Amino acid sequence: MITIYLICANGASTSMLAEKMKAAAAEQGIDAAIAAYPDSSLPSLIDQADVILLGPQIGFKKKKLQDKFSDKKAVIESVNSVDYGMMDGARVLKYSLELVNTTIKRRM
Amino acid sequence: MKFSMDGLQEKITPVAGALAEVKPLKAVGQGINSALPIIMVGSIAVLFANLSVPGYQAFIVENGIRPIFSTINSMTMGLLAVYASLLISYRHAQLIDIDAISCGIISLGAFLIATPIAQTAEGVNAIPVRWLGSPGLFLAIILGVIVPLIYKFLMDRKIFIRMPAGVPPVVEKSFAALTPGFLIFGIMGVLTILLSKTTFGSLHQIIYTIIQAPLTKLGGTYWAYLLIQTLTALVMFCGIHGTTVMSILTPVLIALNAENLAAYEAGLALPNIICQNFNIFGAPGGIGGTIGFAVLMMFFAKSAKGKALGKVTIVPSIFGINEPVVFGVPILLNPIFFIPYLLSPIIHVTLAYVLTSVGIIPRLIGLQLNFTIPPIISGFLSGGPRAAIFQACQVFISMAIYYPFFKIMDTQALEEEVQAAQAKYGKEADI
Repeated sequence: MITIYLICANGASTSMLAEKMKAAAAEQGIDAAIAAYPDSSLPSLIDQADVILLGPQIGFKKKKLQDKFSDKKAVIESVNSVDYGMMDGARVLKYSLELVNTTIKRRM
Repeated sequence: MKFSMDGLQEKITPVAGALAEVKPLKAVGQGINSALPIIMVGSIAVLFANLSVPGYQAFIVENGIRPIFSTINSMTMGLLAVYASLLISYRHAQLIDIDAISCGIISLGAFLIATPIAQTAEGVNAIPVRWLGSPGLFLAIILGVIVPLIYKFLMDRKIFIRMPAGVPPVVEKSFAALTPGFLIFGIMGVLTILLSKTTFGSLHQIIYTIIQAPLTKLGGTYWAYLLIQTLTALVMFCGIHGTTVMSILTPVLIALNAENLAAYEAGLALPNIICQNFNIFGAPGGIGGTIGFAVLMMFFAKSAKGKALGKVTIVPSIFGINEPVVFGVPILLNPIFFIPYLLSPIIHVTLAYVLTSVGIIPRLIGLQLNFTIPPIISGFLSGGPRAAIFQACQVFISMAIYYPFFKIMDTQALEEEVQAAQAKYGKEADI
């Protein structure tokens, strides 16, 4: 089970992407919990998350958030803006899985 | 037109980001946003009370329905500043990591202390409703910004009543809010009594006369509105959501909205062209007025990329959400789209303003509508059929603005697709 949270300023378009990712996960038989939230709720979510994906419109906060939550297990990255715009759920899901795999390797 | 924008992005993005993260501004925007049910339901109640449909007015008056609408409005929109004083402070406290509900309650208390109690002719004590509505909005905002700062100042310097060890943290927390409460209520109480001896009579009156009235006048001008709409698009062009920029003007626009709504309810001429409601003309399809662009991609794209984008972007665009357009094309930091993206708000705002000034489109009644309500519907509700027709025209105007730039993008994408196909099936393509 992998938990992915999509974070953006008000959650309108990220929730669309989250739906697409859920559909892609179901299609590929991947056990994933995926949801979208506004950035203000990040502190209460970070502990349960494996991957935090930032919408490109708040991508400028990535460094700050990575530093702030450096002690957490979650990987924080921003979504490629074209994949985001195309609402390409499958690609963003693949990207999230890669992120998880590389961090696990790094920790071993 | 192909060069790396990474260097530029590195320079621009932090500036735009810093602008979007100014905490007091963000708090005002979020606080007023949290009051959305109050503002929206309140203004729609006015709409229902005053719909000019034949037979409808007689029906609601005879059956005693009209008072239901007016009661809803006067207890929601009519008390807007009361709600705002709590919510803005609450949001600001959240942003600076201090106890939100304590700050909210202290701001509300301070706001009410500043509101003078008057006596009616029958000797009944009464709070004048005037200051609880939009005329009191700026005091609510000022308190919402300042109270959490004072609270944080006191907490940081450990100036609060401390409890001995063993007392549950919840108890200590509630006592911690006492010191700022005493201090702020004390100051407000003294101010209120002192000011009641002056010609102004109250803090409300001073803030209204010195700050709110001039700012509303300034902010309600074409130039101020245009500046903010264009700046919002510029920030979005840098890839950052521009709502915080827009919220600089939100308090002013809400006050102007309330003036129009009150006039509408009273059956008077609408005083303002520019108000919050005017936003329905500012950016059809989302910031940068991209609805026409989505339509062009949907129906006229030749490249596979354009067609795919059309399918993804058209529906969200109808509801005013255009992140898929901005990030998918991408528009952000794309030199091709700099011109139409910034030209768009200028053209839409100017056209709507001029047409309203000469009376071709009616002034809007000051309805508070969520940005996700599609054009034509939002225009019909807030200005009637002529406003709806204008919004339909805006879709075509938007198409015209974006057409040449859409063509450049589509041709480029098509060339790339053909080249990619040739590279892949090189030999077959040669035959």
